[in-house]
Amino acid sequence: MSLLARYVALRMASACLTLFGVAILIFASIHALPGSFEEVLVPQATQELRDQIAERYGLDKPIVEQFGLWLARAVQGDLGVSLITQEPVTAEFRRRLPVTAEIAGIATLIAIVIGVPLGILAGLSSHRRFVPGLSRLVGGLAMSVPDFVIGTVLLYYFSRYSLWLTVGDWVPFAEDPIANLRAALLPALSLSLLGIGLVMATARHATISILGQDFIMAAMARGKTPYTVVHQHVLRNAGIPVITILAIYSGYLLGGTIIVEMLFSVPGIGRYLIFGVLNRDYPVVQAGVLLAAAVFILLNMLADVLYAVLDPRLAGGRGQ
Amino acid sequence: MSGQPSNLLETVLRQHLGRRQFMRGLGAGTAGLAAAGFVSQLLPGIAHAAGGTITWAKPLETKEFDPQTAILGSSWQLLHTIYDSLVDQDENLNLVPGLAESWEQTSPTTYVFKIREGVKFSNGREMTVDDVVGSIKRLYDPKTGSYWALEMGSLKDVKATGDWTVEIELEEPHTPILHGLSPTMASIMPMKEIESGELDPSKDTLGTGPFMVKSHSQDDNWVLVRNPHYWREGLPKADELHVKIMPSDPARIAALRDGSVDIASFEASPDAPLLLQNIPDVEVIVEDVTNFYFFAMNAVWDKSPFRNEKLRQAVALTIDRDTIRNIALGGAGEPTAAMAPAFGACDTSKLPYWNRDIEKAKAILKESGAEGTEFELLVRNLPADIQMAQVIKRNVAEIGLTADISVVDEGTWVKRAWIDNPSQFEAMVTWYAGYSDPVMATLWWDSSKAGFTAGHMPSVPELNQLIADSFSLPEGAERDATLQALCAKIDEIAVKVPLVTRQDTVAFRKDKIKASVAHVEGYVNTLRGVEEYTLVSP
Repeated sequence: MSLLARYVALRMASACLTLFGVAILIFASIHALPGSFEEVLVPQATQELRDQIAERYGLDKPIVEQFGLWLARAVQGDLGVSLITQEPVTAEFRRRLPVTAEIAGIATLIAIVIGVPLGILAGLSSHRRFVPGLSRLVGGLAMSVPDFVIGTVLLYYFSRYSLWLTVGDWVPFAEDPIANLRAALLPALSLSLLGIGLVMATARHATISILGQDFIMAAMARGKTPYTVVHQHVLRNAGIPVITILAIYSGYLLGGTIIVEMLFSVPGIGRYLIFGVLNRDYPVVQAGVLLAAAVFILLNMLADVLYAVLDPRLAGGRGQ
Repeated sequence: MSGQPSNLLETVLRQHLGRRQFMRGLGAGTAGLAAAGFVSQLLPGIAHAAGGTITWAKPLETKEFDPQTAILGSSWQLLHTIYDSLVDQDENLNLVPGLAESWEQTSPTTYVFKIREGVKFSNGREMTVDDVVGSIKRLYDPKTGSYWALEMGSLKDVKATGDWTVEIELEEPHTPILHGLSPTMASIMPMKEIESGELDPSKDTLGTGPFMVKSHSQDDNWVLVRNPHYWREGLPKADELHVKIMPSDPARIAALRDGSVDIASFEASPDAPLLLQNIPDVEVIVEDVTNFYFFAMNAVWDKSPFRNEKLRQAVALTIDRDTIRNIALGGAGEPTAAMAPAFGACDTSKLPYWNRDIEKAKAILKESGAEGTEFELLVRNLPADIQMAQVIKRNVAEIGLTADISVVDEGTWVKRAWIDNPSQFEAMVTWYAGYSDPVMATLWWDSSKAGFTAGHMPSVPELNQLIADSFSLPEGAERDATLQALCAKIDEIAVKVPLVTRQDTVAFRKDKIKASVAHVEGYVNTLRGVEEYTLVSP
């Protein structure tokens, strides 16, 4: 346990360093983009007004000083205020994070619930005619059709035929769970298709690979039923690559939510971030990217811990 | 293409009263006349209900909260529902009383306004002449940095001449001053609260308009509620106006279809009218506007081939405005010169470089010595702009020129087009608001005054003089002739070549609300008159 704690501590220190690097990178990148906040906000105004705006937000200070000031506040949990609304970015994230997390969570759930059984079924039936080709075709299609295409098609059909789900009518879960679900399902479905394809393909490959292992043959020789073999050996061992792919998928979700939130008018972090970039609202972008990086790092750490839970040999190996 | 009558009430009123009477009823000092009672009495059979909530899906968020410094149409649209100006406009760009009950021009440079009594800001404080005088001074003050001050002439003095009268004196005659006082950028501000520091107009709002802000979530929604102190009796008819920011056209259409929004606006979305066709209970209006697209050629930057006037004129002669309208803009818009057709101020048949003439273009190109020129055509990542650029690329190819289209993001475009001096582009496509007097938008051709154009627009003394004359001459034959001469000069120098008017589309659920959309609009106030919209009774 102490070894695991040391490992986690080391990973966290490394995560902090990564976040610091991300902070520098995003600060430099957003400020290097053509068009500063005041230029994009009021391009045709007088230079005097632009100077006033820059001065009001400290954008006239040297870039290193601006970074230092921002970092000093950020480590204390103050991510600054939006240059557009002059409202704290932290409060805005607190309000929007559950929305994005819900969409991403439902998308992941759909990917697991549909992708894992289909993948394992395809793996178990791989010896049958047409099944390998069919599963590859379905998986390939799911992975290759972009979100916005799926989203646009769903938008059309669900609005055209009033199929219960709503568009652009987000209601917080606490306010009305049913209305919330009606608004969340379409964006989550759009996002989940890639996840379904990834999980399905991974589970299928893992199943085929596991079925060829000696311990499967030994289990069969011991007289275990196919159900027991699948339940006790295949599912457990296929879990590790599926978790790996879900960790990668979570990274994709961070970007994917931006598209579906824009498309379906979902008031999440992705939409806030994209408007932040377009408006050169520096504190919003800096905080958003930092948060995304933190979530990504956290999810990867979580995946590592889950490996250890599923396969204690991995934890031992790392501990040693 | 002109707007269609969108409201049965309005159509019947027009038939019964005639246009003049109708307009008088709307504006001439008795703005409350157009309120619900009047309309309902005339048409008792039509059921509509006061109260309730109107939901509007808006494509772009409001990024500026101070109306006097706001520079984007997307901001004017929303701020217009919160603030009022001294003068207002009707659906045909005619001036009607706003916070000023009436006005009088007492000399070529002096205007006296009778301020409406009993008007209150939404916090309940009565508006006074001090607010009016302070607001006008604030607007002209260079420290405020309002670009709109450029359109307002030179202020000599503004003062209260009585409890309810204000006098504005200009340095020199400025014919469109009343038009200048009418849009959102000339809003009357709560000066007492601003001067005491109680209100920061750059982040808070407080106006005399029909609605006030209850809550706002940036890039997501606004909840506006009825201003209980609104001065027009019986208005607004709706209790609340919910504004949903929905950037995606399909999402707005879907929301309109499933009834979760009552109105959806579409800015420069060429395909919107087509996509909105045949949706049950949805009425689509393509609004007539004075705003227009133009093709700019950089005549200042030493790396631009368009410092050559003959080359610019040759290019201007290749422009096929009908194809731009039909192919790039989905059939919406009208071919235009620097003054939109709605003004009736510029006869395009008399312009030497406006009508497409490929043979003449080839001859002038030969004279220019710039045959085979290749240039970069800069556009933002907006469907209409890109499609227009593609038509222009084909047009100039007919005389052997090559346009390489560069699609860039907003920030890059802003920097290269407006901030850098000289502007870092050779050619670009964009648009100007046309406002409500034909001379107003032409000010952007005078780079000695409109500094943001100096990076690509050379200062042309003869042109600047025509602009100045058009601003100062009183209405009449002499001004009309000067406007035509100005239009011709803009055509001749061919730095910014006007293309087609920039139509906006508005769609609303006619089974849910009764709405009237302005027939001609020059300030992107798509929902001008929203205070009169009513919900249809179930």
